[in-house]
Amino acid sequence: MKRKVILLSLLCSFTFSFLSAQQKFEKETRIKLAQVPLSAQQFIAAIPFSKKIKWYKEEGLRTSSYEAKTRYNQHKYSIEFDTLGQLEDVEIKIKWAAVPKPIQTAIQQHLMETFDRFKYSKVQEQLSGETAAVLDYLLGKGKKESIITQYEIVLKGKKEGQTRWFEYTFDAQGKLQQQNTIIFRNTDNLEY
Amino acid sequence: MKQLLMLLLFFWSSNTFLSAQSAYRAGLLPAINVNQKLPDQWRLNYKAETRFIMAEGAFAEPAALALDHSLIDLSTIVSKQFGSNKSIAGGYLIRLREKEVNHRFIQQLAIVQRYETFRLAHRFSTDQTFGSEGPPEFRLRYRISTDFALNGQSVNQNEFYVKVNHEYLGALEATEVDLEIRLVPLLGYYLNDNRKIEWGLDYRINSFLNGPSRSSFWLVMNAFLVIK
Repeated sequence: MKRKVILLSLLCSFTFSFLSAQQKFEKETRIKLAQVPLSAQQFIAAIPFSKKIKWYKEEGLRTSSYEAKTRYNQHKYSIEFDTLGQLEDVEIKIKWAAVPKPIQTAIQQHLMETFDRFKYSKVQEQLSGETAAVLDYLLGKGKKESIITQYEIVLKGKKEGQTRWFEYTFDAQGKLQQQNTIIFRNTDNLEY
Repeated sequence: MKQLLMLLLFFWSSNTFLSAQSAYRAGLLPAINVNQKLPDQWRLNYKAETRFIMAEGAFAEPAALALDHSLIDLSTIVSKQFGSNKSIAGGYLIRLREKEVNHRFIQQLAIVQRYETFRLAHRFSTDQTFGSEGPPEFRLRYRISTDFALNGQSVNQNEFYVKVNHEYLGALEATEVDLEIRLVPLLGYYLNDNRKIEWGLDYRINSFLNGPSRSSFWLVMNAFLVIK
């Protein structure tokens, strides 16, 4: 009986000490429309989205943002706003084949020089610039030249024998703007 | 909705295996997993799991509650990741009962697929158990697991998540063949990538191929730690 009590007490004390550790803060939470800044609500209301719009709040230590996610014209849309509701960018998930050919060639060339092997996982067109110009473009009224277009690509690449995931951003000429290695959550709890 | 229907179907089909003669065991199953990262995508997993049996008998009989410490499993598994989502692993487990010691050798292949809102893992494994009390046991296992955030699209720090394991275990002991099915729904809390804790129910059913089934209901608490 004594051994059981000791084992159970050890277990309880371990749980409390395990959970009481302080950690840095980064969180994405689903929120209701009423919690979203008015200007962000107005931007979304101006576009004839027919599918449900899901709102999220992303909170970090220094920055926060609001994000609306929906489907429109058979594409996934993700529209990000700052804390005041000002548009940051619109990301539209597209197929690699939908990227203009000259940009495809420039991106492909860069990636072929970087990796021994790579595979695209996700391609997004990223639109930003003047809020009114982005809105006009989304409504089919404006020209693409009046907004900033970038391409965000998530891919699996192999170099020096190691396969990793990367997120690349290229501009409208196919020039590299940003590159990040994606670090996923560990999978220990799914493997053991 | 589809997943919920599948779960209900599973519980309904499990129920059809149960009869008055069916035996059951219920208790606690706490475990701690310590994972250590090594160079070149190698990892070590140390696991300690113990069982406390709180009730056992036949479903038809009234339950007598007790708290008996049943066994302790201690294991070490070394794994090597290859590609971006696969790992192969091999290890050794020692099972300590009151008067018996079992030795188990484990081999496994795990594949983890990542989707926008959830992860899906497939684990194929084999093990061979040797002990002084009976013939060796050989098992072939397949487990499918998923985890997803309770809020938002991904699991963030200091957030709860849901994990579900579903496993099939084929076993061969001397000339006897058995099949065990497990369903483990868990609620997890993600402190950070180095600390996770999960609670839930581990339901197991076996022996239904050759006679009255045996069910086990374990209250689970898993802790996952990473050491550098």
